Amino acid sequence: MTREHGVAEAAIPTPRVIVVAVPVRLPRAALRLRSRWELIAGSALLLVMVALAVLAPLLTLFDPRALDLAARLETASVAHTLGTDGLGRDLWSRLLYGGRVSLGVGFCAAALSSLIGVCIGLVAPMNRMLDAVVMRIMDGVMSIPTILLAIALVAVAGSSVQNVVIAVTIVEAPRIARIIRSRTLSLRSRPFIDAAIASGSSLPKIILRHLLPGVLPQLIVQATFVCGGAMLIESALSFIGAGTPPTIPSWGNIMADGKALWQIRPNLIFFPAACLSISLLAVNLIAEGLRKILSPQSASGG
Amino acid sequence: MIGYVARRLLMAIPVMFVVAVVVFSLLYFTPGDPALVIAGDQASVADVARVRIALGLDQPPFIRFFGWLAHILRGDLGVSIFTGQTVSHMIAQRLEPTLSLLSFSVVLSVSVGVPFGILAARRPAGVMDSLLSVFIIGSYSVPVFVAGYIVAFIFASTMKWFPVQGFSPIGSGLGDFVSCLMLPAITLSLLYSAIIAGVTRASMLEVLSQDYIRTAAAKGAGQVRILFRHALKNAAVPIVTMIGSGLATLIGGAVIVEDVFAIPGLGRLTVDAILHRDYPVIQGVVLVSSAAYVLINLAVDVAYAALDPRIRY
Amino acid sequence: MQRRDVLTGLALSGVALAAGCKRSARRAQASTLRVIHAQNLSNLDPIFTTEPATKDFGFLTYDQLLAVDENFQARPQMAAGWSIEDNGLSYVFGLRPGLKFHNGEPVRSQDCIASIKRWGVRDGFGQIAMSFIDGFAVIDDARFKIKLKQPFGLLPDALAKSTPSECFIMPEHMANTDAMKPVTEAIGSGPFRFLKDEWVSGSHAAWARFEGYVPRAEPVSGLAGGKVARVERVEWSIIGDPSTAMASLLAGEQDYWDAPAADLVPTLKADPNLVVEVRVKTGGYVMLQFNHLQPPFNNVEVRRAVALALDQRQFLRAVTSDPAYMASCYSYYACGTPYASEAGADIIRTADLQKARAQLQRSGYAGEKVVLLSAQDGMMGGLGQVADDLFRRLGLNTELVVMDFATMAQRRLNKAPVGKGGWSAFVTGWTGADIVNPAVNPMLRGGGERGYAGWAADPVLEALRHQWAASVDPADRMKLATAIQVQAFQTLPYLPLGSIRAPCAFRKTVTGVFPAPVQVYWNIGKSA
Repeated sequence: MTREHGVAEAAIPTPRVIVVAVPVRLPRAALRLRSRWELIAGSALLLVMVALAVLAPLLTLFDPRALDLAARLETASVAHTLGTDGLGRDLWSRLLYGGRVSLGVGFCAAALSSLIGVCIGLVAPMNRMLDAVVMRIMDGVMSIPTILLAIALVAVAGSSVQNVVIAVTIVEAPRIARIIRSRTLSLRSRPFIDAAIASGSSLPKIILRHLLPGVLPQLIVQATFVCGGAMLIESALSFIGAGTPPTIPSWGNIMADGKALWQIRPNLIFFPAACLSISLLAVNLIAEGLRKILSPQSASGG
Repeated sequence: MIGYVARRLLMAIPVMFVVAVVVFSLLYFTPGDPALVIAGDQASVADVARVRIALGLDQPPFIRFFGWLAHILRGDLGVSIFTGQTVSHMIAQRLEPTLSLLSFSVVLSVSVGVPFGILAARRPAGVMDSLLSVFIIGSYSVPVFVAGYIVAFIFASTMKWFPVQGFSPIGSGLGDFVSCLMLPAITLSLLYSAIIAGVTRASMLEVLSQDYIRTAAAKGAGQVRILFRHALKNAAVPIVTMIGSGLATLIGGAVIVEDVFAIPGLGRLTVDAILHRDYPVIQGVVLVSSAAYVLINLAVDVAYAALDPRIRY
Repeated sequence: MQRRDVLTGLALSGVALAAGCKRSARRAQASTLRVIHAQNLSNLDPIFTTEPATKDFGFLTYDQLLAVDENFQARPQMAAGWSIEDNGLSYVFGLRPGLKFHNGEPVRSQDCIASIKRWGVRDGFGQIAMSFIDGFAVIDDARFKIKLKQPFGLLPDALAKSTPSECFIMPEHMANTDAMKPVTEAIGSGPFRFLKDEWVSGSHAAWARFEGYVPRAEPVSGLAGGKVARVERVEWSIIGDPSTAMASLLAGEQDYWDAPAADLVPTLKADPNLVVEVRVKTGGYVMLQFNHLQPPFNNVEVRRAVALALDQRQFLRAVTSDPAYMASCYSYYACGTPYASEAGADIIRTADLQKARAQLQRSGYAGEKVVLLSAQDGMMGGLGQVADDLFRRLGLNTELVVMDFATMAQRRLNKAPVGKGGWSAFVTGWTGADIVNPAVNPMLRGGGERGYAGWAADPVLEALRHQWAASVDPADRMKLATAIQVQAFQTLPYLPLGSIRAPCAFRKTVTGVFPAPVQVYWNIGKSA
């Protein structure tokens, strides 16, 4: 039972646990500030990355898809701030537009898997049989190593941004479902639910008005973790060559293109990696900050 | 205890069935016709039909599924479309590198992560503690393949301490074995050891704040004795659990690391098979790795129950 | 953990590392040639598949009856020679004495005949040959006769062909199997013996010198001449990632890299321990293939529009920036080979977007969707994107679909419209040897739906090709070959995109590397 509390097995490095020790000797005010620093720092960083992605057309004159073979593999210059890639495309422009895809996949996959996960997690425990069947299915899907399942899904359905989002959702939703389900189970035994049933509330009403707010904190935290995980999976897929199609820039794609050339043009790997790492850091900080505020009782570990 | 194990084993069967269904249906829905590829550009329609029958592709899905299942249970994982070798043989060839890599990484991560966590828990807000927090956050934010390239660049290309790629089986000498696996294992362990260290720290903190620890200290027990005889044993449960569930991360990361360091393991085999639509290999490998993962979780649950009698409900 | 233990542990591991030498050092016996082979060896049957890795495997493990020399002339290899009798209707081949298979059995006429028959089922040139062949007759274990229905001067060229599928000689029991199912054994009579137990597909493969091999007396010339194995072992490491491959070559862990990525060549050249040279002088050729069954490319006027817009240099520059390694080639044959010329080539030399757009207007193109397939491996990925860019600038409604090569090989067999999983065009590449004459070039055809993916229907071209095959006069064949090219530039079965001469790279300790149309490893040794 305890195992299910926020510690399901991770996907390609998806953190379920970030532990920041809380020193027991500091005064309360300082505590509160210190415990919020992740949220503040993370949100600031994420805001910067999102702003860069959204404002992309204003920040660069180059079309990220425009080929310029006479100018391939250039180093940083006045014309191209960060240089160009193997087909002459401007790297800075690709990074900005790539952010749209990478961040977009992260947010969409997080939203979708939360939606699906919360639906399953709330509804399944209502009926014993349903619960048993659904949970076995979730276990089954989670038993398949995540990266393999994701590659297989994209290979089957074809390479496109939508399919990457769908693949990541299929891979991550069961985790959320399990966590929401165990939270629902523990909430269900609380008195206020008994009261609601006794006063004649219908099942949908119980779920929506009573249970949903109860699982919401956990959901938000997990969704944020999933966002980071989704970005990682997308970049790993694109890196292997089974993700976003190469014409559409994404940070993973840019790295995949530059992978063969990193000894002569390390910037092609370094800059997208830095963007990805900063975004992941931001998301993880936010997730950890949220976790401490919204569900401090969920033990970090075990 | 036996009852507990038996119950968990029984629960594993429907899980594996679901895995089998997912794996099979995944490939059933793949567009494209392997019979066409095998028959080749110059084949006539009759030749393609012949190949299709030989592969059993003409039968309805249910029959194919149960036929396939029957073969699997007999240990026959099929024959690779492209190499003509049996899937079991191909898996057996690739098993040693992957298992070596995984074992090495687990050993490395646990021997780095657990002490790190203990040291951090000993003095909260101390140097080790802050260092650990930074390490954890850092390792979560750097993707495995980027870490791999950085590690390879620094330690292999520049300092030349280790080879750039390749694998040497333990039978060919311990020195080569360790040397070839060191960089891949370090790359994989970066995240895994962070997870373990984090759990260790949290668990130790929780245990260290217990009354019986204070009692032991009051009675004059030394630091080491407290840490190991009293605290670690009781803190072990979540740590062991995490080692088990973190293995999924490890297996996923191994796929990428095998690619970066050119290790001839199962991860690479699967990625190649998926990208080339070699169905029998894909099915066989995903099935085997899922089964392995289910078994490992089972083992973790059993260990969990052995360590904490309260769990055996 | 006690501090003491930690320190001891560290010390011990330090010692272990220092003592344990790198794998490379231990295995660097002077007698093993360690090759980085970029493409994976997945299939052991060179008749069944035309994959380049299987071709390279074939040349190491098997031997040919006849082989081409550096001038692409057919020379006896396993054969001691041949004679032509009955006014050109019979060829009698005699085998050299002492030839053995790797299992110790002698090579006999029956093995040769069975191998030729199996090869003739699947290979294009082999099929042409079989259409001229009336029958085979065994004279004795060392001599056999091939009877023809009519004179076929190209029989030696067919048997000697160096492009997939080559006519390798296998033992009779292997050759008597169905050509539609790949053989899984690897018993040849070549200078190296394949070590099947050590083969891990996707990772590595190894050969040992075959002590029973009898090389010819004369020196090597192309793929003919004496094949002397100067190393005890040849090992292939399949390293798909070019940067990893380069790092291991530079570190001395490998000796020879058969296909360095073009952009990494300058770094390789700068290293004093490496030699970078072009071995396959015939180079590689890239082309844009059309689907002639579906709109819009079933309309020759639309194809002409693309040809007018095409600038070969754009495509070549997507692969490499170094002008030394690329060359435009405005011919349907490999430039630098006997049949190459620029006859009729004006349409692809134009590179004028305005004219092309005007032509597109005239063609009646109504916005039909174009699905462009592109393999993402290596250089093909870049070429696909350049083609996509070209189509867009021309004004075609294009969608670029990228996939791995194996999937593309599947997808391009689909004859349906693009809405139903079909395709309109794809980029592919062949070696120079593959397009040296109308017999071996699988895409210079007009056979319609029966042929290679693309299915160009051009009866005039087919007729000319058949005439060429049947002609016994080399001068006449030259005229016909040129006529075929002129016809091709009219009907545009595909578009040539130029040539790339890719170098190979190897360490200075490797000796005896000689030019050949295939990267073969006999005659190559290692100095200390």
